[in-house]
Amino acid sequence: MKTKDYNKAVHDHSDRIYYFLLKNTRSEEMSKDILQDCFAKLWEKRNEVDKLKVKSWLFTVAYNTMLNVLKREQKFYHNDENYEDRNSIDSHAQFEYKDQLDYYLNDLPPVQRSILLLRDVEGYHYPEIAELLQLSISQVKVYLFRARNKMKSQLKSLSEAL
Amino acid sequence: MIDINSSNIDKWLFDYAENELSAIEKLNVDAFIERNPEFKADFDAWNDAHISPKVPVLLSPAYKKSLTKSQGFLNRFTVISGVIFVAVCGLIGYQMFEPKQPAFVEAQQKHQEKRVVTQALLTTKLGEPVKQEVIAPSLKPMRNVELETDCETLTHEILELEATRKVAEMKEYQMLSSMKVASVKIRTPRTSHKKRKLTFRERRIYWKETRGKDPVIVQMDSDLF
Repeated sequence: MKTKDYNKAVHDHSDRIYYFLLKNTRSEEMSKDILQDCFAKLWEKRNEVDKLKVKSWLFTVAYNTMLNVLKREQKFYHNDENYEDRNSIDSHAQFEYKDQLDYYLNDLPPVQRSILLLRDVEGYHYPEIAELLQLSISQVKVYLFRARNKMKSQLKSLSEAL
Repeated sequence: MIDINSSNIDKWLFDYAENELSAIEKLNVDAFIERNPEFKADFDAWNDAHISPKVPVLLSPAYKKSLTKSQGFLNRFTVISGVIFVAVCGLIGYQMFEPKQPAFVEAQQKHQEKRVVTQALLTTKLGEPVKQEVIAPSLKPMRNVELETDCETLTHEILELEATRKVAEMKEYQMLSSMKVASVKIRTPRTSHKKRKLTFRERRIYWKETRGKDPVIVQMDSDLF
């Protein structure tokens, strides 16, 4: 990958990676730090990275870096097993539908949230998500089902409450 | 095919929302929802639980620019091309403006030339009858004299023509005067062309010095060339 390709990758993918990070971390500062870290790694490994696969490479690095940062911060990280729904429909009833979806998304564990974002925003298929996040396809399906089911339950409760 | 029922409806609705079902399977799910309207809310909720694919532009152009790398004016190709260009120009320049000998060395050489030529002339003037034995050795030192740039070198053909012309001239002169030309022998050099040839100037000197003298046998030996 040449400098020109690297700069094209910055231009084409930085917004998407940043959006992915921001949705996961909910911190602009942290997202920008991780984004910068991602592109610094890409620059270091520019001779090894295939320019046709740079987007997925960036998402993988962003995801792994984000998990490490979150673990270190111990702030937003949730374990899938002991994660509990802390949402109260009544307290968010005044939110707009889009805000509500964002809120539900924020309450998902990072893995489920990442899968959901990669699926809905980036349009990746199960095998691609599995490769990106180093999971099996069945794991991806299970996590996605859980994430959707949770969001669906909350949306259903919201519509019933309204 | 697995039947759709209330216990597995979520699985079917999930796949439906993920667009993972075939057209027939979708029709079956639609038919099930028609028959069981209590699942309509679930059906809608599953389909709504999707995030918008629209990614807002959140990063400023300045921030993006800070992530990019300067491509640099001089890439590897440009540097190599530049080095080759400079080397070629240097070589051409050196050929064109090759340092000459210092002026005093040149002057010294010219002085030496003049001296040798003068010696040669004096020798020919002194000889009463100018004979080949006198001329040939006297011209010999001139072989080492650097030719002037405005002197035309004599090729064998030119030399021959020149000699023929001179013979004619001398015969004409002979008719006007009482002198007579014995003969002119031209022995064209058999040696390499690379050897030095007489210049017009040398030839002019020769004829000038021998004019009006006794008949001369002009024998040009290949050693002179």
